[in-house]
Amino acid sequence: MEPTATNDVLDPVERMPQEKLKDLQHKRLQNLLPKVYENSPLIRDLWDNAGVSPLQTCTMDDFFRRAPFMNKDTIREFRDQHDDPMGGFVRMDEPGLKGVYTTSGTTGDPTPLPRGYRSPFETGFARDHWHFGVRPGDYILQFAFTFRSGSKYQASRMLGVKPICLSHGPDMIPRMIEALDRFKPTLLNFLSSPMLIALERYFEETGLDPVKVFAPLKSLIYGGEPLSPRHRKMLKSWDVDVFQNGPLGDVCSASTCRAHDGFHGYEDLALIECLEPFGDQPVADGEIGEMVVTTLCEPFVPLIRFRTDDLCTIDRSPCACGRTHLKFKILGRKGDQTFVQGISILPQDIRMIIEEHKPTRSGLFQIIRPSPQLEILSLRVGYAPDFVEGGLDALNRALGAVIEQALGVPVKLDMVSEQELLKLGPPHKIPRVTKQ
Amino acid sequence: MTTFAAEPPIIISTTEINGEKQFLLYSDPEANRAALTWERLLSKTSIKRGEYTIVITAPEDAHLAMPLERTLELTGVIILQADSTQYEAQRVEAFIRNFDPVAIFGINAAIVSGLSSLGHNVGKLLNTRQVWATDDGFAALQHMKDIRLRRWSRFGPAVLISCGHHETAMHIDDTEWDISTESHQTTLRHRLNAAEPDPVILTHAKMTRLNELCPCGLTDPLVDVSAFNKPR
Repeated sequence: MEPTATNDVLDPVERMPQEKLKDLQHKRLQNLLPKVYENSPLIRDLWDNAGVSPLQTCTMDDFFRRAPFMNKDTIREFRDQHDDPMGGFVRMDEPGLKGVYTTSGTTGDPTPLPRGYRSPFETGFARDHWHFGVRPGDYILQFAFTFRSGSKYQASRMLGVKPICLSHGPDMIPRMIEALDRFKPTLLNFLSSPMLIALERYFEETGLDPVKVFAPLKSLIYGGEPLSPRHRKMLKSWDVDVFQNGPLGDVCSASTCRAHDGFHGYEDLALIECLEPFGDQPVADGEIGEMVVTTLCEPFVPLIRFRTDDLCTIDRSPCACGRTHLKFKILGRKGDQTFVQGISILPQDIRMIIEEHKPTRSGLFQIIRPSPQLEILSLRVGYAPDFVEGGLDALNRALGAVIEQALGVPVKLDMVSEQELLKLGPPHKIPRVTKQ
Repeated sequence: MTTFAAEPPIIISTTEINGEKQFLLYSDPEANRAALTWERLLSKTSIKRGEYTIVITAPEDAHLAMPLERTLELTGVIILQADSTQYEAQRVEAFIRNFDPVAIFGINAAIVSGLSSLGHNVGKLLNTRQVWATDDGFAALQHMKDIRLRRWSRFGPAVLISCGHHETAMHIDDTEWDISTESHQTTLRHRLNAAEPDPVILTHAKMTRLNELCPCGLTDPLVDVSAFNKPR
């Protein structure tokens, strides 16, 4: 059955009017807060230290005024101070606890994510996949970097679809193509920047036509980091409908929709605020702020007013896809923001310059940053040795000059081969900012 | 032997047959039966409800991981998940240090190598735990003393699990599989409903069935894996 306007959403809550959504958020919060205050050593410690109890947050205004903030360091500090591997989210012997994931660790030491039988991630994946055109009986290609039966697989069972499970890595490309040809999956979940780099090479070397390879797909999910302009253009030339997916501060997932104009945050699963990056007051819709999220239904990972470190803008205008939940755009991590001679620079500012040059078209680089304030922008840039013409020094000088001109700051480049740079991260991304 | 109609798959995993990687369609009844096999085996161990375990797998090992994880969840054992790549060695070490797991399933050569290259004493990390290793993980660990080492192995689409009472022999679920071996060829036939009901012929692979009862008390037959002669 082809998706129609009324069939575009799996759960009617996705079209719930904003007023009703706000009421639902309030009810869920009132239900959740006493439970997590009782069961989560971290929340109890945090709220007690702030002199706040759930009884004092009966209205949403009370909540916004009184509830203390937390961030990843809060969790790490609690874990280290109390020798608690759960980071204080739940007790080690919490009834109903099924397992513990950990975050990827891109921004530091991985933090724990305990899980029960279900999680809001599963709910989000199921809604997203349905919206992307997946229907019961379909095959989907799970090109994931981990086998997490508790999340993605359960979403597949919810929808009655058959996941083809493959590891996320360049050596799996032939198997991925074989699976596309044999099973005709309707969704590929997901491709990352390193995979796009590898696929571009693979198609060039084999002469295979990406349009034909990806023809069975109704949709393809991209994730790991923001999609760069060059990769967006490349995917468009492959004639696939691309949706982006990313986490909503470890509370649940978020994806772009058919309108392709930002990520939808599921407001029945998460309370989303956009606050001053270095303050605690809300910024107006459309202005840049830090995303702060609160789970509304996950007692095992009680992220309450969790400062995500993501800089974003919020859009609450009606969406063409029919969903009523807010949309947001991610501009980068607050912690990745680097000031060179007082000028603010985010990784995406650099990426779009680097990837315009053939030897560095993969857009692989790291900002080497002992501290956020620098006098010279120091970059480690990955290059493809076989595309270098005229020597590495010439490339270094030419690229350095272009970056200096575009950003208006002095630049120092350390050129390393792409393969070496890719070894510095997990299979699906490299850390864009590093201390050394 | 009766052959049943193909069950709808719930997941597509990967197996290796005669040296070639192949997709393996896997159904819910198969997963449930394999989960029961794990339940029988784990009931003979000291692993208890509420204790922590690490499961190390790759996405394409779904038919191996899913039944084990079902059993662990149903029996109240808590799962810490890691991928079977060298990059994940750091996560595995952190899990061991922080959660003191009683068992580790699926440790392979990549993780062992990763732990060593991070400077850890692998024998010391593992020596109080029950460890089920993949074939290459078993090879990497078997020289280390004081590890309660078991094996979790593949034989085509079939899964072999050791209970720890035999050096080389492992249990196979003969409710699931009818096994016949002639010379250097073994044929595996599903006895019950499956997503891929056709027999699988493994050439250059010999499985010897031992006729003794295992001290662990399981009636799932023991097969001798020392006779494996895989093609190069």
